[in-house]
Amino acid sequence: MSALNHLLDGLGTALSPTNLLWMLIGCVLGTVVGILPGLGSPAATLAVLLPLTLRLQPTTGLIMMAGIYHGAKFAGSTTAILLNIPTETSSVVLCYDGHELAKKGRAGPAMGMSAISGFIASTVGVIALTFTAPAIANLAVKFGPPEFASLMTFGLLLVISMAGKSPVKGFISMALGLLVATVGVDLVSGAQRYTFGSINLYDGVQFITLTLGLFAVAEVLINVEQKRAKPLFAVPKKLRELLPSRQDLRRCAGAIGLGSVVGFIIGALPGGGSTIGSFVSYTLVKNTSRNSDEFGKGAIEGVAGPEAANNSEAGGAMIPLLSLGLPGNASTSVMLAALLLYGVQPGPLLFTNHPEIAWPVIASLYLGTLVLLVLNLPLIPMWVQILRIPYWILYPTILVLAVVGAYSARGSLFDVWMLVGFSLLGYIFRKLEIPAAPMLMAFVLGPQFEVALRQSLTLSNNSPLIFVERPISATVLAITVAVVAFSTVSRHRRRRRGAPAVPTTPSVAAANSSAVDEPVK
Amino acid sequence: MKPTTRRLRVAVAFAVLLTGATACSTLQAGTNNSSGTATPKNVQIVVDTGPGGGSDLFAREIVKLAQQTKGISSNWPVISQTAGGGLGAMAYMKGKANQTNYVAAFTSKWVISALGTANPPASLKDLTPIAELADETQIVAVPTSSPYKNFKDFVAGAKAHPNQLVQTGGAVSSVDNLIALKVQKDTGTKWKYLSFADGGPRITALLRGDAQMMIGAKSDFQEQVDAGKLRIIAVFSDKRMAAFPNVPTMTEQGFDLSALPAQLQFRGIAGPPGMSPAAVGYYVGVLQKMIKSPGWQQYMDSEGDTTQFVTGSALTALINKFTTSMTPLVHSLSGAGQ
Amino acid sequence: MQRADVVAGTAVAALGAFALVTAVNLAFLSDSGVPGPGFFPTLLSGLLVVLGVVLGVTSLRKRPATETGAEDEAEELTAADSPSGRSRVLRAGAVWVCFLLAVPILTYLGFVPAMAILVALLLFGVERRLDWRSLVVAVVVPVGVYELFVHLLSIPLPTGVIAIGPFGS
Repeated sequence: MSALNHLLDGLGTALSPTNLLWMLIGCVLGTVVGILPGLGSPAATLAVLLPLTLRLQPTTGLIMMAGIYHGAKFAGSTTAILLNIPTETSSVVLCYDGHELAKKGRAGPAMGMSAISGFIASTVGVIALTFTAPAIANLAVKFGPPEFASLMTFGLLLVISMAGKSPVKGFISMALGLLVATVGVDLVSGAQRYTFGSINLYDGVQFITLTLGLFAVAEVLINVEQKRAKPLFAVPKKLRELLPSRQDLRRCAGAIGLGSVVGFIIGALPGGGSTIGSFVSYTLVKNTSRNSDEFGKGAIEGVAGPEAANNSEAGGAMIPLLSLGLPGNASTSVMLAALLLYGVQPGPLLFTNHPEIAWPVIASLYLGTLVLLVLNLPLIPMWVQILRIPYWILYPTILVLAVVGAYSARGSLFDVWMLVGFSLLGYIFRKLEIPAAPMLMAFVLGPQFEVALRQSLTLSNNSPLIFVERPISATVLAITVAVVAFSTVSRHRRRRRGAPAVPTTPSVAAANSSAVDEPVK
Repeated sequence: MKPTTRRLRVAVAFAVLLTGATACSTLQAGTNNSSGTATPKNVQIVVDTGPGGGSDLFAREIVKLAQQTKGISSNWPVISQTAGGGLGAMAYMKGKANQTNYVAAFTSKWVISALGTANPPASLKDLTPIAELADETQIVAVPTSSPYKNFKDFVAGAKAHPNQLVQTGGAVSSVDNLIALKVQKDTGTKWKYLSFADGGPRITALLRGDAQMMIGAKSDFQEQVDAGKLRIIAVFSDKRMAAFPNVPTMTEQGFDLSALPAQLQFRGIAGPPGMSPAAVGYYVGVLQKMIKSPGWQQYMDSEGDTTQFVTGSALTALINKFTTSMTPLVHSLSGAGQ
Repeated sequence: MQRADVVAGTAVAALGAFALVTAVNLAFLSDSGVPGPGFFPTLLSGLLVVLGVVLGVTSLRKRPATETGAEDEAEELTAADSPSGRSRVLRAGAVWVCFLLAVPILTYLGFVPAMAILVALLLFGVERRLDWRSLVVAVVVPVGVYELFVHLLSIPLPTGVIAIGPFGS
């Protein structure tokens, strides 16, 4: 149990008053900065605050960064729930159920559930990180292009299953998203695609520009159709209605468990990250839930599952960073940068050479969510007050912040023009009832899917058998087929019975999560 | 009638405020733009990678060391212009002509990006090179379990299995692929190139066995070499590396590198077009002070880079020579890629 | 039939066709026979053409009578000619045009003046709130956001072609 001893030692170090203070400051800074569009992604927040953290002791600095990381993540979900603005990719799914809940006056419970499930999941993540790191690192190494292509197929399934009333419109949105994602210089061949010779398009379209246009500004355009002197939606006054109820917690237990495991494993894959984790978790939770009809209309499990995955990912993402020296995603690559600037080289030897840094950082990841929970549950009533601001003040502010977000992503005025264009597209989508979320999700998953597919076929000399010959890839595909079959059958049965919901045995959810677990052993 | 006057007053107040702000702006516009000042204020450093990327880290390290050596007193914010592998950053700098408070951390990749584009919006020749700081020696790594003990073995393997072996790396136009293409052309062999956008997946591709070889820098491989997972089999230089004294160079192994530039992955600092000699002198002074610090030497050692402090006409000559020898390789690529 | 969906289907198909023509220049398969840079764009734009046609044709066939109450939003759009529907779209359109106009102003005047003009246009022009509170919002929001980003977080915002003043550095 030396790992446990080390973790406890690490907790001891992290709990020193100085470290605790900086973690607290980190959490607050992360939350405040993360709530602003354009800085919403933890990576950008960390990068902006990097000079500040570098003035501290390495351990303290990294602990503060862990605080910022968690704070920024939580803030990303906050804007998605309250204003339908997902400021980071992993909060996109929250627009389905989180914002629907806010429209029903349940913004408080949704945010509370996001914090609680994040806390539980990050506990799971840190415990798993402490005890399973070598096994998971091994899995992370085995996850290559074919495995990623199969995982992306699963992710895109979500997009299809979310198509809504008109499948054709859902598909149009998805295809547009995939097509927009191809804009830019192709990595594999170096060819320019849809750049029309403009340098501004070489790097493609920025996620934040697309999101702010399709969601934030389009939402404003829809809301201003009617003159509103009053706030947007009703906010309950009673404190009890601002926090999740016991019943909410009971409903979400399974979703949190499933999300934690999925998020942790996917987070550990280099190139995996919390976005895919939250998408996959949402798909699994939705397709295995007995309330799957409520998803997309304000099901609180639709917040809990992805948020759990989003937070246990932090534990998973540390595995390739600390045990292989390879950053798994943008945020950990900033952490890697910080380590390097402190003169610490992360890698297979970090735990032997610098245990005084590695373990407190792991411990602080955990403490970070605890601080966040303690800090944010009381603050939720305050955040919800945003919804009380008269709309004539709120919407010009959103528009100004959207301009900042689009511009500051890469300092380009061209992106502001694109923001204006995408906002018109988003408005037209809303008028025509074309769902915008499939476009955004396909935009996020598309490039990874395309590259993984082409890499796989390069490796196999164009033989598609590579996807079933490799065991992990085959397992992922088998799970994909199982989930499709399961949800088709249950939907069919429901339609025949004419009943609104089909109770499914919880064992199905368990079976699925254990199937995901399998390659670990 | 009453509401009308009130409206009028509000509108007038707004107009006055706005004109005031704009007038203020135009008044001050002159001072910051004049390029004569010896010490530029509010310096910003432009890089071509996102936060945590190679150039970003490099720039932040320079700023940190320059502050430590008291060369500069304030922090230089880092601006990411990631479009098109340096093209965006160069175009951005081109737009800041004569503004002495902008500098860019360029790499040799910027030359290649401009070569590979039909009508590049800007090239390194448009900017004012200030100083080269470092060169990153390219080395070849294979998994420890690999049968290839040196690069000759690898080429022999590629001859025996044409188009089967896999090299991993970044974009097709990256230097590691270009020099590999040169070797393939010279030896009449052919192997595949597996592109990954990020560094992490490249290493795991080697560890997993999907790829057999990678050309990169010491910092890419050091930890895995220490952990006994990767082995270095060649150095793309005519001198051995201090960190790997037992690894023979490509020249020692009988490969002719004379057609390739001596420095393959160099980094330096450039200013916008038309930067005054006074300003160039200021930055050269700051950098010169910085590279003499022990912190810089430590950084160079950990990255596996060698300090190459080149300024003035020697720097221009270096960039020109690199451009000439890389041009045919980049062109052979764009012919085959489409 | 639903006129809006027919128009939308045609637009999607046209966009797909344009993307397809552009994608022709990209190699569908690379030299070694694996999917090349044109593979995805070609398939996707082809898919868009098909989906656009499907949407257009199915909506042509659909009779308004078969529409159920669940789709009243779409009904509203087809009834855009009715006064209430038109005024709603006009209000949204006015806000969008203000937003569009703000970009060239941003390019020339810089962040604070452009955003102040945007907020003022929205509050005075669209919302018709000609009081002092609007004036305060139009000044405080841009200046506050500017101070927060530029001075507290050192994130540069557009300075404009001519303006480099107190809100320019």
